[in-house]
Amino acid sequence: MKSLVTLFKSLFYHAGLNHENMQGTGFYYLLKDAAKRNGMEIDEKCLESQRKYFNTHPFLVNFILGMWLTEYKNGSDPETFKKAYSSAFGALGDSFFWHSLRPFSFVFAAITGTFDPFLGVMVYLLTFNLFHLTFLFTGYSLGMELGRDVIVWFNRIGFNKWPEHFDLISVFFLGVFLSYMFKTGAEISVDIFFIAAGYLAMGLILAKKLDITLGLMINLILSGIIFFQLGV
Amino acid sequence: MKKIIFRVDDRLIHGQVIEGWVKYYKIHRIMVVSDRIAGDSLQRMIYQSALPSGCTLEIMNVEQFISSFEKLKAVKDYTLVLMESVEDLARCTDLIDNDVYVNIGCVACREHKVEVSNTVFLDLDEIEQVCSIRDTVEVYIHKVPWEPSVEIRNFSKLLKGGL
Repeated sequence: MKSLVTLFKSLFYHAGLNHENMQGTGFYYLLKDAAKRNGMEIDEKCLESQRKYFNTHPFLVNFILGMWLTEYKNGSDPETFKKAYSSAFGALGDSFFWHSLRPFSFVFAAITGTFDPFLGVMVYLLTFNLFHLTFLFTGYSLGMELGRDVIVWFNRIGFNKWPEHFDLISVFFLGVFLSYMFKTGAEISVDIFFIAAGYLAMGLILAKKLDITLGLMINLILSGIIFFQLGV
Repeated sequence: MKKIIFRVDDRLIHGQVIEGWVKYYKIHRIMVVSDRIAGDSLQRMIYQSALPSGCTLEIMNVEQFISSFEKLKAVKDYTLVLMESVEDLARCTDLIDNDVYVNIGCVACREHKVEVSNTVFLDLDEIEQVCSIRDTVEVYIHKVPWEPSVEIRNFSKLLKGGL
C-alpha cells in the first residue's frame, strides 16, 4: 500500500521543477510525506536542506527516496549517496526512458495504428507506462530494502544495457513494419527491393559513422524518389 | 572539436553527459576527476554502472590526474574529463593549453552565487578563477553539443562592482 501511495504522489513530483533547485522542491515533498507515513522523525534542518538542488530522472526518484530513508534510519550519511545516485540515475533514465523506450513504444503503436488508430494510441500509452509505472512502484520498496546498495539491483538486471537491447528490437520491428508498408503500398520487384535495402543500409552506416540526422535526411530523400518512381 | 574536453559539471555523469557529449562525439573514454569520489568504492561503482557498454571510466583524484596528464595527451581518441567544481578546474590550470576545450556545463545554485546562465551559478572566488583560466584559453558555457556555446567574457566589470 505504501508503494502505491508513493507511486501516486511521485506522479506530481516533477511539478515543482525550476532551474534554481531543479527537482529539490519535489524531493522535499516526497520525503516529508514518506517519512510521515513511516513514522520517522527527521531533523527539521536536515529536512529543510532537501529543498536544495536535486536533479535526477523522475521515473527513478523513488529508488533514491527509499534509499535515503533507510540510510537516515541507519544513522549513516544519505546525502553522499543521494548525490551519486541522482547523477547516475539521470544518465540511466535518460538513456532508457527518453531515448529507447519512447521510439520502442512508437514502433509498436505505429504497427497497430495502421489497423486501428485508437488501438495505436492505446498501445503506445500501455507500453510506455508499463515500464514507467513499474519502476515508480517498485523503486520505493527496493530502495528501502537495499539502501545504499540499490545499484546492485540495477547491475543485476543489466539496466545500462537495456537501451541497446530495446533499440535492437525497435529497429527490427521498424524494418518489419516498413517492409509490410512497402509490400502493401506498391508493386515491388526484386530490383526495387534490393535498392531499398541498399539505401537503408547506407543510411544506417551514415548515421553510425557521421551523423544520425544526415542519415535520416538522405534516407527520406531517397525514399521520396523511390516512391515517386513507383507512383505511390 | 578538440580531442580533450574539460567539463565542469557538478552532476558529473548525468543524462546530458551520456546522451549529449558521449554519444554525439562517440567518446569511449571518460575521466572523473574528484577527490571526493576517488576514495569511495561504492560511489565509483554507482558511476561505473551508469555508463553505456563500450565506454571506459577512470576515476582519480586531482593530484593523480595532474601527474598522468602527459600520457592522456598522447592518446588520439576523444577524452571527456569531468570535474565537479571550478576550484578543481583551477587546480588543473597548468595543464590547459590550446589542445583542450574547456566548458562549464552545470554548477548548481547555492546561496551567494550569481546566475551566469540558467545552469551555471558562480560565486566571487569561482568567477575570479574562471577569469584567470580565460587568460590562457577561452572558457565556454556549453550544455550539450548541438546547442550553441556561449563564451564567457571578462567578468572584471562585474567584479569591480562588487557583485
